[in-house]
This record gives sequence, C-alpha cells and structure tokens, in this order.
Amino acid sequence: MNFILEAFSPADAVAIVQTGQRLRLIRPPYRQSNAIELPNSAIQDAVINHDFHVCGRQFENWETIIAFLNQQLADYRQKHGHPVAETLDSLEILEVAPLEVLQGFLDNVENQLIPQGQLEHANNFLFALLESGASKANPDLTIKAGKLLKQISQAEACKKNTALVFESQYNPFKSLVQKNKTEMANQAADYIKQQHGFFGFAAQAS
Amino acid sequence: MLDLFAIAAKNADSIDNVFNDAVTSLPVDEAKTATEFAQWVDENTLISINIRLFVIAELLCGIPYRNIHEWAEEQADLSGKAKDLILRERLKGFYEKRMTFDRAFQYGERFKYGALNAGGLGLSVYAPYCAVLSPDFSNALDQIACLPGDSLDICFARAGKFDHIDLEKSVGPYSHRHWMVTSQRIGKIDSTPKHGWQQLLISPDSKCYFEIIFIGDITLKSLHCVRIPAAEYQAMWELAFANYGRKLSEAERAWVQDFIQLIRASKDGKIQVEVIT
Repeated sequence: MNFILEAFSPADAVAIVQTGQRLRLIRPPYRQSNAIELPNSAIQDAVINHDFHVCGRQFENWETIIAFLNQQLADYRQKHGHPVAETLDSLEILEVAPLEVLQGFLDNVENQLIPQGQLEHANNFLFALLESGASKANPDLTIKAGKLLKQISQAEACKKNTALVFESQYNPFKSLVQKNKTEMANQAADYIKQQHGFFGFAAQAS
Repeated sequence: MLDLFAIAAKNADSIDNVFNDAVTSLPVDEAKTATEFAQWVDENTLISINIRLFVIAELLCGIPYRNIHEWAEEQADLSGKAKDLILRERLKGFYEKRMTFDRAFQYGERFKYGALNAGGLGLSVYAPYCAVLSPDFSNALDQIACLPGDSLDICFARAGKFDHIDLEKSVGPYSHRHWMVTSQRIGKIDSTPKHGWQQLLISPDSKCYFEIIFIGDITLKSLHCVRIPAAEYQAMWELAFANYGRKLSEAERAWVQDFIQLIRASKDGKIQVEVIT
C-alpha cells in the first residue's frame, strides 16, 4: 500500500497521510487511537488556514513516515534555536504536575505497571517521585510510593524465586551452569535443538 | 486594493437594520430570547485562535505569534531564500488562492485570523490548544472586522474564483458582532437551550463559525487563557509518564517539553490554562 504524506507541520510532526481512500491526521505518539479521519477537503483547509506544509512524498510504511517526521521536527527546532532535549528532566515533570496527576501516576503504577510486570518503569517513576519536591510537599505521595516500592521488591523477589525453582526443576544442565560452563551448556542445548530435542528451551532459558 | 476595515465600518448601519428587522419579525417571546442572546454574545464572546503547542512555547519565550507571511519573512532571513519562494514551496497548489486573497486587501499580508468564542475549544481539529485573546487586547484593536464564516470560503464561493462581493456585503465591525451573530442564527436561537448557545458560534464540526480578522501583535500578554481539551491534557500527562519507562522519540520529547513549559508557566501565574471536558 502507498502512504502519501500529503501535508505536515515540521515544528510538531503532525501530519495528514493518505492511505488508499483514507485521509488521516496523525500526531505523536502516533497511536491508532489519536488518529483522526479527515474529509478530502481537509488538505486545503489545513494548508491554507492551519500552518501545514504541502508535501506529497510517498512512503513505504508508517515507520518511515514517522522517522521522517521526527527528523523534520528535530531539524526545524534546531534551526529555530529550540533544539529537542536529548533527555527530559524527570524531576521537572513531577514538580509541575498537579497533585491529582501525580496520584493518577501512582494509580497507574499500582494497577497497571506492577500487575503487568513493568517493574523497571515503576521503579524509575517511584524513585524520581521520592527525589522530587512533589513528594516532600505531599507526604501522602511519599507513603504510597514507599508502599508501592515494597510491593515491587516483593514482586521482584517472587520473580527471582520462581526463576530459581524453574531452574532447579527444569534445567537439565544445572551442574554445568553452576560451574560457569554456560557456553558448553548452550552448545549442548543447540545440539539438542537441532535434533528436535525437548530440553533445548529449558537450557537456553536459564 | 480593498480596505477591509473601512468596508466593515461602512456596513455598521446595515447590520443594525438587519438585526432589528429580524427581531421585530419574530413573535414576542422569541424576540425577547433573541435580544437576550445578542446581549449574551456581546458580554461573553472573546476571540480565539487555535494554535500549536509549539507556538504557545514560543509565546512563553517572548516570540510573538506570526501569520504565514511573517513566518516566511523569518525563514527568508534564516535561509537567504526569497520570501515568495518559501511561500510557494510551503503552499504549492494552494499558493494562488492564499495570495489572491491576501493581496486583494490593504495590509492583507498582516492579517491575523481568529474565531468568535464563548467558552469552547474553538476550531480544534488541527490544533487542540485554543488561545483565547484578552478583552483588553481585542478592545484596543483599531483594525478588526467580523465575518459570518471563513473569509476564503466566502470569497471563493462563486465557481472557485475570487469574488469579494459577498464579503463586502457581509463583513461588519467587531463592535457589531452580537447583532451579526444573532441575525445569522435567528432561526436557531429559540430552539437551542441556553447552555448550548456557544455551539451557535462555533458548530461542533467547526464548519460554521464567525471569523475575526484583525491587525495586531499577539504576545503572551495578549492572552486571556489557553483552553485544552481534557482528553489532550490526559494524553500529554500519559506521554510524560511514559518517559519513565522508555526513551521517547524526538517528536514525543518535543511535545512533552512544550507541555511541561506550559504547565510550569501556568503554575507560575504567567498564563491561565483551562481544561475543558
């Protein structure tokens, strides 16, 4: 399928893309849920009245369009003296966020990140929160963040135990691994895999 | 060349007359509601411009809002290319239409465009951030006119060719906006509940609205507030939260950077932010 980048705004990487008969407005973070279907007359309106630049370039897929838009944005902002920061200031985000937003973030950690096992994301956020002025100003946030960190460490311990049990019960090459002979173990696993052996997965998983 | 603002001023009496004729032709109850509506428009409407988050960040850095000509002049300074070439490259097939309109009017290349707004999110499809201009700023403008729709649609309605006759008939001074709006929406006022009156100014699909054309420099001080749709506000915080789990792309970082700058400015009392559900 052809992807035609009809028009875009280089400053913020918002774009109008034609795919088949469909014309869509896309914007970072480029999710299906934030794409808006547009009528064909939209290109003229967007260009004449809403600061879009006509483009007309064809792309092979969404990935190449998004890469192009990211590059255009970076170049445009650099040229205009507002370069995009290489990393965002994690503490500043938390210091300007209203209390209800921070509480929402904590709810996300509790209800989504921990149950889904995204523990690094959860840890990064919670440590940043505890370091920020926001938690100092709101002791309730500190208490909840502390509780969630405890939950995470329990989840991590549980994960580790499960891995150990798995290893001791199912790893037929345990003695080789313990002797730091993992390379030999992997070679053995590869060999068994080539022979369509059952234990290959277990050895490599360890 | 046409003087848009002189034409608007000349139409003041006819706008008064159209309003009076429209209201007197209504049954007493409906006439009363229409008069109340006109008063509501007069007291509650401001000018809004839907702008990009990046432009708000620029305003916060002291860079004034620019129209397409002012933007092209800046690009010309940066690149050394001719302004006209820059405009042609950006507008391509739409160059003639935009330039025909802008160059038909005295100071047309300095025009800024907004919409009458009474509390909504403006024309938010392409740019959800709605900058609302302060009443002090609007009231101090000498060159300002109101139109019952998009100026380009009005001027290119006849077989797609530029014709200013309809615009000359319909444009009015900003001071008469409430009478213009009431006359234009007279058949819908009585059947619309009061809480829905703002939709008579800007329809939910953004197709029907009242355009305001003016000449003036828009800076941070010109703003009354910035309105953000609740869904956009939520989405931006979600993106900021994602920053703790993965490295965001350039575009994502740029958006979060601009958003945080806006929220910081709001917290510091430099700008008022309203989240609209």
